[in-house]
Amino acid sequence: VNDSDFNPQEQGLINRLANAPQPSLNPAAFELIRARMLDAMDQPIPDAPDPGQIRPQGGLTITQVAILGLVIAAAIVVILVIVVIISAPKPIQTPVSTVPSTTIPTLAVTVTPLPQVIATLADTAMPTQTALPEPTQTLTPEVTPDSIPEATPEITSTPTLEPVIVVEGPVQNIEGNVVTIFGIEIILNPDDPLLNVIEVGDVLHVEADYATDTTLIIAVTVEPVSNEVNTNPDTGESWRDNGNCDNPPPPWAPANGWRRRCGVPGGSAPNPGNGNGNGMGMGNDG
Amino acid sequence: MDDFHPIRANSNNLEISFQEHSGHNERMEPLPDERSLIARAGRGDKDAVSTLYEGYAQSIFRYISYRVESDMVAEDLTGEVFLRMVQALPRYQDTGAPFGAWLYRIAANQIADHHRGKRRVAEPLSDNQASDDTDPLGKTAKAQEQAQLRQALASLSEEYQNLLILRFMQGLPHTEVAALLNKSDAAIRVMQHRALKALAKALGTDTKARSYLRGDES
Repeated sequence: VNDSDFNPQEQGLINRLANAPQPSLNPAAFELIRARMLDAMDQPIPDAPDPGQIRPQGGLTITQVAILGLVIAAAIVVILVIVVIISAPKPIQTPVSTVPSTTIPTLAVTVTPLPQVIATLADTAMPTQTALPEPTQTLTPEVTPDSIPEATPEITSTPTLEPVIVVEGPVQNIEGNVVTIFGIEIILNPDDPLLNVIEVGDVLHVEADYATDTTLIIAVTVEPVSNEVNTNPDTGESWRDNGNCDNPPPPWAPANGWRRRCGVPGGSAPNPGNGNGNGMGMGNDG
Repeated sequence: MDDFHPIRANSNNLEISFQEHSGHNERMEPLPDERSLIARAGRGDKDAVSTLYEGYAQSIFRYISYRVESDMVAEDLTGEVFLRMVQALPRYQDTGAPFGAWLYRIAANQIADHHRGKRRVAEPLSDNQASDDTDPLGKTAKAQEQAQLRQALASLSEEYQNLLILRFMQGLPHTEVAALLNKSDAAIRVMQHRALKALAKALGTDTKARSYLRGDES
């Protein structure tokens, strides 16, 4: 064997292989094999795959490798299942828990407590219309009818309902029996003794009503709020503190400011006629 | 590049292969009118089957004998190879590849089955060793050489064994070896160097050769 590609050592090995003893079939074995082979031709031929097909390195056919691969894969799956079952006993429960885990989201969706809760909150909170448009869309028809009747009686005082008008504030003007408070002209009873006492700037609490067929406001009750003016609820007699001690209040008048200022400590009852010149004593009505 | 001078074993020179090895490898060339023989054999023509057997039996046997532990096993496997050939011939399809390559593949598969322990223990087909009593010393030396090569080859990979036996002992060209081993021709040319290096290491000749080339006394 001459091959220029080989070095001397390789060439020596090649020569050794080429001259290696060549065993041969002896005639007896040769003929025996031939006889067996020819006999096999008289027998039915088994349907076997091609015996000369190329096998992978390991000597297995492709089909054998495929079957072996499937067996190995199945074995791996079985082993993994066994390992999972053995290593964690609870995984048996985990599949059970995983099933509810799929229902937990559905519960969160189907229970729908959130929209309802929000809806009840939206009854009182109007801004939720922008925050949660979906629930408010269905709820607004129920909310608005309730809220409107509650708001209207306070805001708009229609005459049909004959509400009582309550005005409390300082007197701006007095013309006869007409007193102006906050620009509202209120007609008082011309015989009301309070008219003789009140002055501009006094604070009155007036409960009035509209006169029938007119828009005039007629005072029903008039009470002075200021401590400067006291009125006897029984007689209607009024007393006004003019700021001096020479006008002592009547016994029925508390006149706390006058008594504190003019030396009569506490008590609603004055010390009539002590004559000490401190201005204490029964005052005249007017 | 192939300077082999093969002696093909066929029905005419069968006795030559039984004679002492002449120092040349036997190259397995297609038999005369081989396609016709294969076709006839596939149709059950026993003469054609017998002719194919005579043409390839010794080559297959020699190939097997260096892949297994004994000639006895090689005989048994050779019988199996040709039995499979007969069974598969009716379905054989000529793909253009040498018929001998197909037989070598059958043999390689049988050898693989044998090494996996699937095959039964070989029964002697004949009293092979008792027939030739001439030149017992030479016969012993050849037996030792054969045993040494078998042992060394057995330590190599299956690919290397096939390559060394087919390429250098059977004398097949690169292309046929490449077809047999399902490799490219270039791959075979590269692989044969590695196989020879591995064989030298297995035989323990690599260090001896270096010493010889350096002029050292061994």
